[in-house]
Amino acid sequence: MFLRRLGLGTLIAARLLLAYHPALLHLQDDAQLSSPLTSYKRLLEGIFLFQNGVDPYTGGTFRHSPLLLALFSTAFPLSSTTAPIIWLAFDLLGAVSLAKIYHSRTQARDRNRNFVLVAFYLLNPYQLLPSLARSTASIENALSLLASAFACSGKSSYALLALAFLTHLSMPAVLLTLPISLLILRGPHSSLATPTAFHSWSKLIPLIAEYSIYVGILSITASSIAGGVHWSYKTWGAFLTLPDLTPNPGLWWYFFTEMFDHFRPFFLATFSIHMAIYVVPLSLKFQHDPLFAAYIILGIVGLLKPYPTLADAGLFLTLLGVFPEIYQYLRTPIVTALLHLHSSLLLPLFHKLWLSQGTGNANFFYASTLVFALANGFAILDALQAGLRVGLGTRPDGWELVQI
Amino acid sequence: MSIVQKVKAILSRDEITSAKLRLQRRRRITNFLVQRMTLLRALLYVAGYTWLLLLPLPQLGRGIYIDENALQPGQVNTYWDWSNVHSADLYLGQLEELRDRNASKAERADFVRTELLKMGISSEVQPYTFALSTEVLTGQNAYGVLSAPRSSGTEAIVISASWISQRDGIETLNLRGVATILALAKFLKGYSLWAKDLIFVVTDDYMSGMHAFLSAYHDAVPNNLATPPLNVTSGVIWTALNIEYPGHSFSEIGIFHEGLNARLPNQDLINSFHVVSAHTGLVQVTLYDTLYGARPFTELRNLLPSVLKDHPIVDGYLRRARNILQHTSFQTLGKASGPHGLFHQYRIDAFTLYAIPAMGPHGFHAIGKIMESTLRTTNNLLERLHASLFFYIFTTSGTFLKIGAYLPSVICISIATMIAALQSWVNAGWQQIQTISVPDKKDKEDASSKEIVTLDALIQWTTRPRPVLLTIVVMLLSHGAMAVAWRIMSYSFFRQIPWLMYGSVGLLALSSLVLPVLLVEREILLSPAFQKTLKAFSLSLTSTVLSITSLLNFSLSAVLSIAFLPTNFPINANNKGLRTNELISHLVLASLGLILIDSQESVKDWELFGVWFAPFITIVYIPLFLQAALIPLINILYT
Repeated sequence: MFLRRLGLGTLIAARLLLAYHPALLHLQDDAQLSSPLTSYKRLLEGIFLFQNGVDPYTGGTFRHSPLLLALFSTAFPLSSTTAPIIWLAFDLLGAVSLAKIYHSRTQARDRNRNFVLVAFYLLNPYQLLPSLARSTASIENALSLLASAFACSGKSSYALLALAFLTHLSMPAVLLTLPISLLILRGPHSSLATPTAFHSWSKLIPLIAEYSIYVGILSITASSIAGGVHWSYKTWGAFLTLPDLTPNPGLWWYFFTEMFDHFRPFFLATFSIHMAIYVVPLSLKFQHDPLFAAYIILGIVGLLKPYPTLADAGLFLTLLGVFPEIYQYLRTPIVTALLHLHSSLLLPLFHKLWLSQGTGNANFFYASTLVFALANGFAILDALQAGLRVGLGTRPDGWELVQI
Repeated sequence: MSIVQKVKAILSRDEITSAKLRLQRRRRITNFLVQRMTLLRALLYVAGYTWLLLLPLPQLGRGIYIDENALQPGQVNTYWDWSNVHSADLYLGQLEELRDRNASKAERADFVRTELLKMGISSEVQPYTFALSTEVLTGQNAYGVLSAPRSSGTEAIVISASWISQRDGIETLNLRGVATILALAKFLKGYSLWAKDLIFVVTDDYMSGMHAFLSAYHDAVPNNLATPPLNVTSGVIWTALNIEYPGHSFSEIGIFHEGLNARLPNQDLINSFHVVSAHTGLVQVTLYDTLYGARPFTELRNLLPSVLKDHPIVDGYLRRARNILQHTSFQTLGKASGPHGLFHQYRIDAFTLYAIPAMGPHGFHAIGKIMESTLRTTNNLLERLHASLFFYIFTTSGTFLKIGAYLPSVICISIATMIAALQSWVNAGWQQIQTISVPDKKDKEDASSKEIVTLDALIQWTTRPRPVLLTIVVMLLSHGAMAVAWRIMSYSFFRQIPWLMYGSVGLLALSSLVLPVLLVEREILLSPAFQKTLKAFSLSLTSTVLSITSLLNFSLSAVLSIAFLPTNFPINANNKGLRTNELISHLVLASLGLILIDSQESVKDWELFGVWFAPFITIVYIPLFLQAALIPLINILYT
């Protein structure tokens, strides 16, 4: 008990010390930790313009939601003193939500496990570094965990409100509506081993309607903050039209730098639809365990979204802690781990070779983002097959399992 | 059976039969691969090390070429003539006078500044002081900027010479190099065709002077350097040519191009210089300070039978091998082969022309012509040289290895290491149990009607848990301990008392070995699951380190791929002689890293130039050997 508290205290203190360390300020410029849509520097720029009576959405630099603009220009003014505390608070919120999700899923009151989950959330380099870079991706992660935690405990309105907020920060989160609504209806308990069909699909309609109302209200709030609806083109529109091609660890930017302009609309649509087509099949397949469906969809969105950061991969890897029942069915954990080891070294190295040393070119960095995507793809596929495999139980010795 | 019937038979298979066949086929393929994994590994090792040995073969290399068409090397008439040679001789006389009366650093720098000012070139003296943990380096640089008459001064070319010339540890004065700079400045001032500013730099000392100049020029003055900001500046420096001309005359020009942290200049620059020197200056270009026709490795040659001794293939192989080894010796340690090596970190392509001292035939006339024509070539550049020409190894001055010709060697070894790691990972989690019972036929027939198919297995495999978390903690402990050791090695207090420093480093290394032994239960330490997991993780990290460093510093990764070979052998739990040998060899290899850091003053390189060789060896290389040494240590202590 005491040791756990001491451990948690040290962890938080260490996080704060790190966040205030001046040598780590350069992380804010790292393209792998914050995309143009989540960058702290751009957020500061937008707030400055906003407070000085200039519309931040007229230029091309500011692409954060007006809600963040309002939050950080009034309630929580951002400065080098307050920002580390705010980001730590969001991380703690995420970590506590993660522990809550684990609780409501397993019904186990295992405090050690709790501590391990919180520590993993706070120390996972893919989460820690974006948070130290003060990327708003950390806020998005915390919100998606919060929404899931509320949904797990059946608090439908809170969950949908959190999801609506998340949608305002990062539009691909709209894809989570279906699994989160299902989660509210079916509960978080692990039913991977005992799949049962879901019959009352019509109950989803009021939930989705409620979610739409929240999004609508938040949009009206946002419009009143920004003084018009033009913010939506800069924030949500960016997810659909990819105006900023700053290199990021995702799969979009390189294609669209290489592409002829007359192909752009077609491929923008293809890429966006590709991200969306997984939602319904996965929600149907895992209708017995919507939390798992939400987990896989989170992974796919993190892999295929237009402006991902390392925080997206981090969220998927951290959430694996919530599904202990699938561990024994994972087939390639070592391959996933090694791919992540390689990509986490190659991404910064090739970024540096290309953009600071000048001895490499864009293809180098693009190749490393492919390794990263491969690592994420392996993780998602492995988790997916393990989640399906749980239902079949352990294999008796001398027997083999094949899919027909 | 005809083909049609076969196809029909395949099509008419029911789902279960086809699934069964698919399963059998998959098992056959897996078995085929798994059974040959060790063979594949062995082949990869052989291929990798053989490839390294074959690098000097001419078949792997190719001739140099000019990639950037704008360079147009050697396409201009040169105007440098004997009157300019005379002025260089006059400068040389004055410099020799300064040398003879043992002039101070300030006097020397002031002489250069005054001479540049006389020509109408704005010029300044830059004093600097490096306060290192073990010594203080002071000096005075003199430099001048000739503003380009045709442009706004946003781009520049540097022509530099250091006061000292340093080859094979012997210091001589680079008087003719400095005289060339002064005469060139006077001569080039007379032409209006410059599109880039020309910056003439005469640096004090050998490396530190240029480091002080470039740090101040780019406003990147490190904490340990005290120097005033420069008053006379220009724009972005694109290329830099450093002249070392220490002798009376020279016979050939040697190229030194290795930069700090294994950075290289763009190959196009060196290739253009090669063309200019060969066609305009009529001077043979060679690599480093050996003559093009020199016959290296005389002792080795004498061991060979007389037929082979002078055989052209053997001779060519040895000459190329010598150049590659010279290259490797600079790159592995991250050392620069001259003051040019400091430029690369600012994205400036630079190399040193070393006029190899001889009684003739060349002198100021040839070097002036070559410099003039090379400057005209670099003056042509409108955009950066192409990014693909930064990865190469020169085998002779006219031939080189492309990245595709040398990289696979280390990658083969890295893949072999990764296979060893994965094998160890599988063996950590699975163990073989011999069973006597053979499933009888009745079972089999019953099963084939279900969805699940039985296997006729004589050998059964059972799983056992792998202590993953413990292994990661043990590995982190060794890396963490050596990170602390690195902090100690970079403190000035410890560096002044070497026995204390190496004592504490040794103690930290020892503690990372002893602590797991003391704290973890004997049964866990001795369990094959732990030992094999540790081996698997340690080897996969080794493989990753090899493949990643091969892109940053190929020479280092090639050396590492040889050094790490002993860690690739499987665990010897019972053979007492072998495991003692293993322990000793791992510890010796680990301490070799430390000895290398000490003998090559790598900590000083880190302090002064930010060369990451020393921290890399301390925090990555040594811990990997400590992890490998832990397994034989446990086995020796407990059995």
